[in-house]
Amino acid sequence: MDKYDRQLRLWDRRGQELLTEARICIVGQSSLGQEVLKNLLLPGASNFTVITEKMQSDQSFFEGGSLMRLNPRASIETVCWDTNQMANKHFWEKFDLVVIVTTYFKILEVLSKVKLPRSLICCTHEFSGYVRFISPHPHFVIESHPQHTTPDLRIMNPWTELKYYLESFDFTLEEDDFSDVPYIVIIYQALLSVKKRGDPVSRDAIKEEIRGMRALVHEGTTGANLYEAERFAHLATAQSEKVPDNLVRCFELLDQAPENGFDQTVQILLKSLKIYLGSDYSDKQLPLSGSIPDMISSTENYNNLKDLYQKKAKEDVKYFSSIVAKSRVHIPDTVINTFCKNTKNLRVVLPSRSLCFRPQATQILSQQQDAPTDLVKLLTDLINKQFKISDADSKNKMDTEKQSNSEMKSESKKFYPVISLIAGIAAQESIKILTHQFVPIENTFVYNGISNQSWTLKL
Amino acid sequence: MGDPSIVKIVGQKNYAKLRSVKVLLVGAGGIGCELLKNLVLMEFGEIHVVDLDTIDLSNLNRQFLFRQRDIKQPKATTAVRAIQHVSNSKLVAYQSNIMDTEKFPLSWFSEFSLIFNALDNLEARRYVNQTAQFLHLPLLESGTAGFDGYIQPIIPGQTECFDCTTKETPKTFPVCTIRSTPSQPIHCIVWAKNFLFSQLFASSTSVATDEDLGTEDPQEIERIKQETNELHELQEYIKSGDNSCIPDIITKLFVSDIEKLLSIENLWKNREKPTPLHNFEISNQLNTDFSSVWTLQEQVNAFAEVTKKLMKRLATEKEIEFDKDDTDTLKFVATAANIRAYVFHLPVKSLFDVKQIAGNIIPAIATTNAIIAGLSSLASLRVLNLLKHIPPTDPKDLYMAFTAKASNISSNRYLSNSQLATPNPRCPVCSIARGVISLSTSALKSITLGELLDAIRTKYNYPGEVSLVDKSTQRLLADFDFDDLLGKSLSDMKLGQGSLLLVADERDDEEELKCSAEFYLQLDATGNKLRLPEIEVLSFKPQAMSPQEDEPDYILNGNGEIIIDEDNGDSRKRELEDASEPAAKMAKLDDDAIVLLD
Repeated sequence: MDKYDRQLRLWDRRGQELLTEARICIVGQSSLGQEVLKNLLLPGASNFTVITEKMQSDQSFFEGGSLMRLNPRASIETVCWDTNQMANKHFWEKFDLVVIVTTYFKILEVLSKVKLPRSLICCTHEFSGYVRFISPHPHFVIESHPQHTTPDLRIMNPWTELKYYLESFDFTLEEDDFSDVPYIVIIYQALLSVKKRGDPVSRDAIKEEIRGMRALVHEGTTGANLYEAERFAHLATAQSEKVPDNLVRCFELLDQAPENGFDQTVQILLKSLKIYLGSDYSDKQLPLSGSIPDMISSTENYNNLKDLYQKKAKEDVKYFSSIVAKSRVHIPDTVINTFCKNTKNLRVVLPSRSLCFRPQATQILSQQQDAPTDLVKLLTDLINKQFKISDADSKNKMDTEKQSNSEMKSESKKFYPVISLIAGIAAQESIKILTHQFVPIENTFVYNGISNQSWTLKL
Repeated sequence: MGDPSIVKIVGQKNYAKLRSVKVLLVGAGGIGCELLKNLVLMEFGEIHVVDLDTIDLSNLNRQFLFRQRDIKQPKATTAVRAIQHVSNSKLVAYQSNIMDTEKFPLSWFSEFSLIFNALDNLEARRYVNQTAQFLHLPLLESGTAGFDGYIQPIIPGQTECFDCTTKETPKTFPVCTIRSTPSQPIHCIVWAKNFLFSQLFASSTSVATDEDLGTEDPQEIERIKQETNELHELQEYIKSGDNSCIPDIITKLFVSDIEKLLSIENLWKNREKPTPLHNFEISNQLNTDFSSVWTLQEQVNAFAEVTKKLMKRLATEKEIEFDKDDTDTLKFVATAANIRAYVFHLPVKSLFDVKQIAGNIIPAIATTNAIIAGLSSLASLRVLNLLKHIPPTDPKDLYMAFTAKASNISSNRYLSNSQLATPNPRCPVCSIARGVISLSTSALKSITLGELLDAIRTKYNYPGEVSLVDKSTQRLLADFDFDDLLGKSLSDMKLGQGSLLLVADERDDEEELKCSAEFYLQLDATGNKLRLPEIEVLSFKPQAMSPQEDEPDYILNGNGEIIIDEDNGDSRKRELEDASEPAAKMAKLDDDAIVLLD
């Protein structure tokens, strides 16, 4: 695994396994397709089918088997496009991801009519390019790796053991040295005082209370943990019983989730989570993540607290697992554990529903008012170029001869910096999609290399 | 290869120009491989590639020009060999350090039209940035970390340079935390790697005496010094190659040293006391799973085993440097750190996790490199003004682009681009006057430091109170109350080809001061004894801006690690409020502790 050391730190073994096992189909043999293939072989994707448009291949930088050597374990099957075989949905079912780079209208026409698995379609033309994520199903992200997380401390509504422990501290600010008391306890006691007075509970009220506590501290005590408590007072009011909006959206779209492969696992986990939240056990709270941040405290107090949170997290996982077990599908404990730790940050993305899409700039602009007009026009132009559809508003209809030659044309207008960029993005999104980690584009990305502008819009 | 597409894109005239352009690519790693491919396919006339490194297994997940069989081969030459067969460009590879002034004098850099930085360390980035400033050469700086990356075109005199915003230096800890009172696992790892390992196996000399110990407790200072001396005894054990002394090593590190710490009662008033590792035993039971957390017994066993191995290696290798990809050194550091963590009741980590911390590992993937290399190669055509139909742009419109945080979809922009800032008037690098002093080899011996300083003073109207610093070594050569060296010749002072001299006005209470100036010494074979450059050194009002204040006092050692107090870290950071937008973004990247890697 040393070869993959630098990336395992991003998506872990779970992600690496999904990537290695994924069956990926690349439709089209352009430079863009070769670059995408390279970018997926490098991190270890190993099962490829490349569909070429015609028998002889274009002259390309990656000749012969040189690409294969990037990943000796990979199998790359190259097949020629065959309309009879490939117009059938059964041909496509076996793939976890299809990356479409072809500019051949005949092929795209067939692909628009057949049911495809999750797909990315991309294309570059001179300085511009786009990547679009297509699927009839919503895409669920089980590890979104957010940049910042708020610790789930349950100060507002502690479970019995935690409540008991938090209330077991007995110290007088005026007399005792309480520098060993973690801020969770201080915030909790401030919260109790606010409640006792009958004041409305808010972050400011708790902060005010802690400030008041600071004034009472006797000389010789730094009260550093009081400062820390004030700084983290917002954690008291974190509404842990409220199901976050991103999760509500996941539940709403749950019925439309696909049901095979890893998607089945994802669906069972989400369904189980819904049942979990409805159970008496959970008291409408998500499984506890179990980790607590560093804080000023004696090691003993800190360890006691840590043990309490970890014990509760384990119990939650155990109960959650018992729900999952009812599905009769085996899901490894590591997957369940990771899922439980990340429930607060579950995400869903709605891909573009179908490949068959004839965009009109005016229409998109009316739906997405904040999108820059020139980029939307560029995107519609790019898609239309790839699909050889002339804009209905346009007076210059392409003539037939132009259409038949344009496949060659677009390949001769290749510009490597933009190909490198778009292929990098397409592969980056492929990894996110296949691992169900990190949030992929929702759902179309367009880049203009002349103005160096880009935008992501929902089609 | 003769690709017709690039001609169509840039136009016939620009294509001819492109074919005559000579560019320098510094780094043949993650971004470097991708960039080299793009530059070759774009048919640049001549591409010179410099990289000091050799290929490692962990490079193969992204550096696509290398294969399994290339491991341990030099990166630059291997990359060029791998792409030669499709190249229409002249390719030249160097397996060298770009900071080697003998091999790469300033005049060598001046032959290029553009420099691409595809580097993995701050020191070399700063060096190339400074060189680009000397020569007024455009520089395309780039870096990635995980899913994120950036490019920054640097046009000397017109846009901000790499050092216009303060870059984060590696996190540092007070010596006492590391040596006496660790409170986090990382303290134990720093102890094991930077102190224990380097004392025992590397050629490390004794700890500097002027180090900030972070404590004023005389007992503790005494203890720290004594411990250092005792480690030399351990070093002797290690050198003896006698396996039977391994239990003694463990006893010394984890029992007697801890007992000595315990005897300093002041340390433990507000802290939990460590527990010495009494009655340990060594058995043969070894854990081989690097991603699980080992038991104490497994740590001790592995520590004993790997120490034995390293002792044997030391006999032939003479000295061993810590290398995160050298399993023996990693295992030693990880197990020593973990046993220490047990002793101090701190969390224990898996080898996989220790590797990340000890090796400063920044995640690196092929896809981000491809994205950044694409942006960088496109930007190069803008910088060189080789794009048909696109009028020359204001340098400030040459963007910096960051790929968005992987999980951040709140922004509609996957890539963000903002205008580049103008040079920071307080920048320690680009705000000062620069020039090349040429002198003959014989002049090095005949001219004294005092004569050189006088010549500079006269030529640029500096006052009597100036300081002269050798920037290459951060040595003070002279100032108003230090004139001991003025009678020495330049060669006595080890000044020569590639030396950098910084002259600064040191007057107090003056309304107007002269700006600092930096001079590069270049040996001149044409017979000029000494020639000072025709440059203008401006004056400034110190109230408004004072380059001196911002003069960095960082000392970078080999690993870029300094042990100083954490609290000093942010003192010189530019105020966010003052910074223009791109600068603020850079600062933000810094805050996320992204060290700019390949």
